[in-house]
Amino acid sequence: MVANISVEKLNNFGDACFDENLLERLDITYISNFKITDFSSMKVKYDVFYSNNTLEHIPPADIKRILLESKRILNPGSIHLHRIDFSDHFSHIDQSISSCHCLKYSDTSHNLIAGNQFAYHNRLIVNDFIGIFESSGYKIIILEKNIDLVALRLLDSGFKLHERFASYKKEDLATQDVVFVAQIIS
Amino acid sequence: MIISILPFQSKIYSKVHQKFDRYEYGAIETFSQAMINIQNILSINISSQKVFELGSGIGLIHPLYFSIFFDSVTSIDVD
Repeated sequence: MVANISVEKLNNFGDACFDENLLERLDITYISNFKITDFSSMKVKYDVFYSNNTLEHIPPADIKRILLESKRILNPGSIHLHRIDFSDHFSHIDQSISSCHCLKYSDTSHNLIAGNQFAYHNRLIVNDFIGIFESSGYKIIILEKNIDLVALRLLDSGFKLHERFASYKKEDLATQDVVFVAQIIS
Repeated sequence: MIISILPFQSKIYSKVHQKFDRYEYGAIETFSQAMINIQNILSINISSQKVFELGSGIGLIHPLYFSIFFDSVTSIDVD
């Protein structure tokens, strides 16, 4: 793996100064206020479409739009690579609740505390994401699940789920995060 | 495999950590492992790939790291 890291860039980074030229030196283009419709006007084609801890914060309908529109900027054989954090994000700072804690609430109740632009969480389960990708013309070729065993024990011992999540497998509900790779098939 | 990202720890991590306080080390491990998988399964050299980053839960730091793996990176904010 190390052999494939750009040694030149690594050396540049080692002495990196965080000035206004850093992104340019590292060949990074940073765009803000990007709209889904902007894909259609982009000229550059990409090989990898990536996100980290992001898709869980996007409404399901918009995820599908992104997947469909992203095909405009991808080369043939390109991949999608995403890491998704399914856990209750409040559990990151509150040790008294589990990673599956948010699954006890209805959408209405959950929106009272998380229904805003800072804390929105779509609470999709791993199979929901797989379904969205497959229905958007992608095939999942790598899927690495990280199951939270504490959450799994809670679910096995009768943790009360909201009915929205009642039909899911416990292992899926206890999946804390995944990394997956998908390829375009249509 | 995690040892393969030692350069991040020794050369970059300290500098980034001085500048930002939201660095998530685990994400880099995950990313590194995912890159290894992609290379092995798809038989591609990721270092020559162009990457479009939809967003990152750890903000602008992540595309900086991507630039070491990839030929070029385009990163956007997701509102």
